[in-house]
Amino acid sequence: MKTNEPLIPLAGVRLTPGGAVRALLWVGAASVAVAVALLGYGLVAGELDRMLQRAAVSAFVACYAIGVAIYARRSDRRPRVPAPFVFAHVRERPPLPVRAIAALFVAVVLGVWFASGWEAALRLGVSGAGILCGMWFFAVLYRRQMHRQATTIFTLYADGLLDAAATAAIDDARRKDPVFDAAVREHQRLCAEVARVLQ
Amino acid sequence: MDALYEVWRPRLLRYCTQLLHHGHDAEEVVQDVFTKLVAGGDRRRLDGQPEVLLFRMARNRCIDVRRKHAPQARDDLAPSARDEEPGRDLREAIARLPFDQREALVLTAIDGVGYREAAAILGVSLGTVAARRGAAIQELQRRLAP
Repeated sequence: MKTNEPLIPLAGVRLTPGGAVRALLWVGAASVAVAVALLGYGLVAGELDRMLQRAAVSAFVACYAIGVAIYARRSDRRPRVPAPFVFAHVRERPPLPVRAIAALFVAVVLGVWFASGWEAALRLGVSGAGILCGMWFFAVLYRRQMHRQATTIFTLYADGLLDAAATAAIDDARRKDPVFDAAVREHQRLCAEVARVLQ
Repeated sequence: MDALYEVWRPRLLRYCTQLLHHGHDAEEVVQDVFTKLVAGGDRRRLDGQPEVLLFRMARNRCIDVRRKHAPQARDDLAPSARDEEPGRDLREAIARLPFDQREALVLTAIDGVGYREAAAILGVSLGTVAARRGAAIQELQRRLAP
């Protein structure tokens, strides 16, 4: 670690990985394309009613993905210190990316492709399951992002590099929570140990 | 150049040893880096933040070596990682970290390399360096827990 490293303002820390935002935008763009293609096919083949439902689910996914990407980018411009309880989850593992992929796959299969191919009685349930799986996908993404955000700020704080305003806010939370305080001390102890071992 | 060599060679060597798990390969990488710098003759590139250029060159060379020799045998761990040495568990846990987490942890543990320099060396944002370092520490805590 560099001695006398200048403090890092929270506003200067990008908390959302660029790859995740790009992936969300790609998912959104692909979903828009699928929705348009389905509507076009429906118009040409005279099956607009059948295709409308699939296109609606696809458009829903598109709106959700693009909305989350925009929200994440906006949050990066005005970052805030997470609520103290978020730091308690820092030591837990974040959900694996495979869970998000599985959720998205099931959502697309159920929501877009099978929804109107089954009997009418099942349509509502299948579409609903598709939408729920889509929400599951975004919930997994959100949890991963929260974990990353909390880890980033926690690490900067524990290393003593966060700016004064953010540090004061976290200090306050730390005073009230002995578990959080212990986590910070443990982090600092291990960092010192790592630095000693690597010298 | 001599002063640069004196100051940064041991740090580069530690970094490369951690990335490659092989003292001899790490030594060769560091020699390559300085040989290239001398042969290139472009001293202006070293103005400002020489450590960023040095670590970047070393990192790229380490990645090349890893591609050629992967996976390394565990017996090739740095000679200091012997059984009787204190901190052996921690060294081994560091060696088993994912590559991106390990290099962020090792870089930020080196004297004279801060978060900003590490971000420039790795070509990622400062937040990513902090996230990777934090994830590495959490992983170490899990692995070293009794």
